[in-house]
Formats: sequence, structure tokens, C-alpha cells
Amino acid sequence: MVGGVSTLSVVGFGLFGVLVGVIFGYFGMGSFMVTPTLLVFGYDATVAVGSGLAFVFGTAVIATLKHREMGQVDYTLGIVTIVGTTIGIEVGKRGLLYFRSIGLADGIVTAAYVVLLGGVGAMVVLEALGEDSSAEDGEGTGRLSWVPTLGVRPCLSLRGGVNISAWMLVPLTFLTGLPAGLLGIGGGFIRVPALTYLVGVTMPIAVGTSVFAIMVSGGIGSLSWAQAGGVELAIVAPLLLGSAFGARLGSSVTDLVDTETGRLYFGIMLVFGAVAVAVRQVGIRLDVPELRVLGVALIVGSAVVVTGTVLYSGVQALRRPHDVSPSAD
Amino acid sequence: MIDLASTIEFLRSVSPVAFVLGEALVLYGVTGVLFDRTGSTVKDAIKTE
Repeated sequence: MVGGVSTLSVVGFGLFGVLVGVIFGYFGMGSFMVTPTLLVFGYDATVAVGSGLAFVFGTAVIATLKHREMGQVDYTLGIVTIVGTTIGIEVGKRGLLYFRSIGLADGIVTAAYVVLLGGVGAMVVLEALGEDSSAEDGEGTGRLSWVPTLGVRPCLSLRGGVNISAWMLVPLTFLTGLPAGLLGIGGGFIRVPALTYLVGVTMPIAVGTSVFAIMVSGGIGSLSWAQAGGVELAIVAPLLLGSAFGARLGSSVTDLVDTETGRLYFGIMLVFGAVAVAVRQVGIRLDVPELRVLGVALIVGSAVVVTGTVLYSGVQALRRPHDVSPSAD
Repeated sequence: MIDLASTIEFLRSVSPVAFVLGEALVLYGVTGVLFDRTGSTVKDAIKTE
């Protein structure tokens, strides 16, 4: 036993950490997998949420430093994202409290979670599978053509030659924080596609900037949960140990696999996540423990499949030197 | 006046986060050394396979 946790569980957390680390390093998200898994294993909600958040903080520190090495963190965008997202989260939380007061919180949260995960995932998959690039503007960015740039000053110059008005950027980041506050999640799965498709930065920069924002917000949240006694080091330490290696692998692969393939994997991961969350929520609402376990099994199973595919694609890219980007380390 | 007892209690309560931050930084350094040393060897092996 280590700190009240069995040795087998500690080893299991380490292996699970590798999976989450690869996904977090590659996609800039993955926090939605940890807390439900801990809940299924019977941990108290305070420990599950607090430890999950502390783990996300530690993983985000490692992923941010790695993405920084590769020049994939846009600090200007990151700071604006943190400010806009924080305001959005606060407003989202208040919305959740209101829905809770009228007894609609569970239904709305479940529906919003599945619609957002599934909707964003389907959009990303369709975009990645489509050969037509007319949806993108002429600046060589991934920004969708119908998104206005607003030329009103102050304008911000972001990495990759993206120029956008702060009057456009702040509301966008606020909107990404709104569902995060409403659903009680980190919001990486919303923020990364928003930064890619609405702001127009490349996916590696969107991921690097997103993990930077998660590092700051996760650190603040972890402090709050630690004061409430919710951070269990016997869980967090092995998870982080495994994810440190996974995040290194995942971050390295972002520059090896081409953008469209990366988007496709990201979209598939989100669709898997939507199905898993839907199954788990149905299990909770109908009080069927098997469905709750199946939901988490789907999350972990999809993590295994996507992690394997990402790493395989990285190896394949290394075997084809002409596919490797010049900035790959 | 700084309340020593509440300061100690605060530091004790946030120490898990400090531990996580310290562990993350150490792991970043350790994995960096490991990956830098072995990464190029592995990449070369894959490329020439």
C-alpha cells in the first residue's frame, strides 16, 4: 500500500498516465478522462476532481515546457485566452447554479456535453476528410472564411502570421470558457478547435497555447482543491510519472504528423468521447452501474486506440523524411 | 501581524500542489535528458529500418 492506495493501483495509474500524457501532449486535452475514471474506481468526488485537476496541472506544466521548446506557445494569445476563458468560466458557473436551482442542471449538462463533444468532433472529422480547402481563407491559416476578422484596433499579431482584432479575440475566448464553466471541465476540446478554426493559428500552436492556459487555470484550481483536502498524492504522483513520458511522445509527434491527419485523430477522439459520456450519463440517470463502467471503458479504450494510432503515424512519418516538417526535433 | 499558525496551515494545505509542480519540473528535466539522448538514436534506427 502507498498512502492508502494499493501497489497494483499505483502501477495502473502510471500506465493510465502514459495514455493520457500522449493524448494531452498531442491534442492539448484529456482531463475529461481522469476524473470519471477515479469516480468509477470508487474515489470520493472531492478526491477525484481535486486529484484529476492537480494531475492536469502537472501534465500541463510538462506539455507547456515541451511546446515552448518547439516554439508552439503564443503567449499573447495565451494571456488573452486565460482572461477571456476565466470570465467565461465564471459566467458559465453562474449559469450552472441557476439551472441547478430550477432542477434542470443534470439534463442540460449531459446534453451540452454530448452535443459539444460530438458536434465539434464531427465537424473536425468532416473538415479533415474533405479535400476542399475553400473553407479556409487566403492567408494560409485554418480560419474559416465566414469568421470576421474585424479590422478594429487594437489588432494582435499572432504566430504564423495571423492578425486578429482584440475585439474579436476576447469574445471568442469568452465563448470557449462559457461551456467549460457550465460543464465543469478544462475546455481543451473546445479551445483547440476554436483557436484553429475561429482564430486561425495552426493546430500545434493552438495546442501549445491551450496547454499554457490550462497550466495557469489548473494551478489556481489545484490550490483551491488542495486546501479542501482533495489532492491525493498517491494517485497524482504515479499518474504524472507515466504522463511525463507520454506527454514527451505526444508533443514530439505534433510536428511529425501532418495537420490534416492530426485534425482527423482529434475529431475521432472527440466523437469517441461523446459516445462514452452519453453512455456513462445514461448509466447514471437510469442507475445502471454497468453502463457507467462501460462509459469509462469506452473512454479508456478510445484513448488506447488513438494513442496507438498517433504513435504509429509518428513512426511512419519518420520513415518518410519528405513528410517531416523542417521544425521537427 | 502575520498569523503563524494559519500561515503554516496554508502552506501545509497547498504543499501537494508544490509537490506536483516540483515533480513535473524534475520529470520534464529527466525525460528531456532521456529523450534527447535516446531520441535521435531511435529516430535514426526507424529511418534506416
